[in-house]
Amino acid sequence: MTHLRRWFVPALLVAALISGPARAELNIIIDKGNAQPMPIAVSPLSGSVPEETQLGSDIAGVVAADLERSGLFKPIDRKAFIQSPDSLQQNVRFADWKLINAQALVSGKVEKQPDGRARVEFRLWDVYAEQQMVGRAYTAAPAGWRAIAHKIADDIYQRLTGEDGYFSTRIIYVAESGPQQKRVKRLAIMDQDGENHKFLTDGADLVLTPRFSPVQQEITYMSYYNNQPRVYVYHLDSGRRELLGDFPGMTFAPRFSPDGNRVVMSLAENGVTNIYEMDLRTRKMTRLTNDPYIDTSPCYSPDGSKITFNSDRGGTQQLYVMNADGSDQHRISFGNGRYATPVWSPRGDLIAFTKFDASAFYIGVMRPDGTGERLLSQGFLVEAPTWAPNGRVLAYWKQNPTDSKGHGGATKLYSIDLTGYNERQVVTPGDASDPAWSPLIP
Amino acid sequence: MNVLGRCSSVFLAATLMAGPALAAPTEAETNYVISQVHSGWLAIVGAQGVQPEAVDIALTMEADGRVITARLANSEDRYDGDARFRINADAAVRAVLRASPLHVPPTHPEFFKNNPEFIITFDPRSMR
Repeated sequence: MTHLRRWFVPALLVAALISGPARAELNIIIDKGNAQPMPIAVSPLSGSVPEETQLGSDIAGVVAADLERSGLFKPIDRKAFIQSPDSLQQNVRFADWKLINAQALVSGKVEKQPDGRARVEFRLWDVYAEQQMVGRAYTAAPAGWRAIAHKIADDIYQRLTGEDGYFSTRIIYVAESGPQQKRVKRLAIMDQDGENHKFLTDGADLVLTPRFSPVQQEITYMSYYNNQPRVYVYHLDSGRRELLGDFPGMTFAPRFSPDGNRVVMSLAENGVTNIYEMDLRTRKMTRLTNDPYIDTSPCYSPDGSKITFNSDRGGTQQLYVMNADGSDQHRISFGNGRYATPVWSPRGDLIAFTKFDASAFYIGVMRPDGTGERLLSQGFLVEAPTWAPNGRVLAYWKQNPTDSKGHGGATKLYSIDLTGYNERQVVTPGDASDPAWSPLIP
Repeated sequence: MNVLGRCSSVFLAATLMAGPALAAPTEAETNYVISQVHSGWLAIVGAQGVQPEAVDIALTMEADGRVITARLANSEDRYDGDARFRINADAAVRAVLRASPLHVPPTHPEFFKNNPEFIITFDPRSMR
């Protein structure tokens, strides 16, 4: 739609009026832009020796892949670049980049330091404004080059979208293998782009529902020992595993409070399931709900003041919110179907959930007051949303149906942008379920 | 005569001395300009918690459609401190500069000569 907002003669500008034809102030309004990915040129970073040049090329490749995967950027094929990486270090020929339709440009260089570490410098340019938008340098051991690339991608994403990046993160999940009737489930962890994959457990014990601490690189998960659920804390930096306790009747692993000092969990006893909070320093348990129904899947709000959970107290499984001390419990979901696994956004303004309605599963989001429900993904079985730390991207897992011969049933991880676009498979070596996204790695 | 009356008199005199006012652009002519800028406006459609805002870009033009300057014309003081506002402003300026030189509307050869300075408001609020 277009508007001519103002077309008038400024009454008091006498001098201007008497010198020629009457001037007008024209205001054109454009209210339809393009939600297309931004074309960006990520030039290989320059180096003075082959080792530096190779590192610069590899880093640029990871940066471009991160940005492309976000769905908000369209990296231009480097074969189309006119100006060379070395020439870019002298001056930027913006006309060359306009010719290939780049709106933004990334340049930089790699220098090996005397101590063996690599200093990686990059600059982000606005091609049309012909201005530098951000410039930064990182220094790390060459083996840490992928981490540097993700930090550069985070810087670029933040500068061009105004939102925090999420590329310097990891995803922990349950790796599944073997026949459906006898699945082997192992904890596995990888960078958000699928690289640096490794298994954390050997598959001897069943593991379920890993959860990241919001403030540290450690996780909780549930494992069965003599058919009793045990909760462990796993310290990723040291590989140390700590038993948090035996919790008979537990159905899901606890979730950390935002400060990492408490966990909230649901425990079943005598046919009812209530929600409890444990202080990790004193190990003291406090019951937060006390009713004859099934209350499960508790999750703190990012400020720690509230908890969302699901309960069947209203006749069907629905989402609820209460204060962190258990007061003011109230239902927030009122749509058709059943709702489960609510997870509060790191930004605090949305709750992601799993929904089952009319023979299909959905991943959706709603505001904490229950308004604004939006369904983002659908499938035969879609479950367990987890937020990227910037609150813009969700990951979850999907399972395909099995056929009459028992074939199929593959489980895979996916991610999707909160706008509902850009659903992508997160590639894992085998079947995968129950993802949990880490906070940003410092 | 009150103040308003004196101003009205000045306005009338000035109008008469300046000759006939220039013809206002038609909607078709304005749309012709918009169509050139629109394609380069890659607005980052935000997610939750982000309120998209309109930004005004003031243009100075050559008569042949070249953009001489494109600058933020509203809330300039927020550019450095408000990342989201800065993103919107950058995207709008980029769209204008990318479209330069703008083609002159065929039905109005003096469009930019008659409008050497004007404002384009980029309003992403209906794009969510």
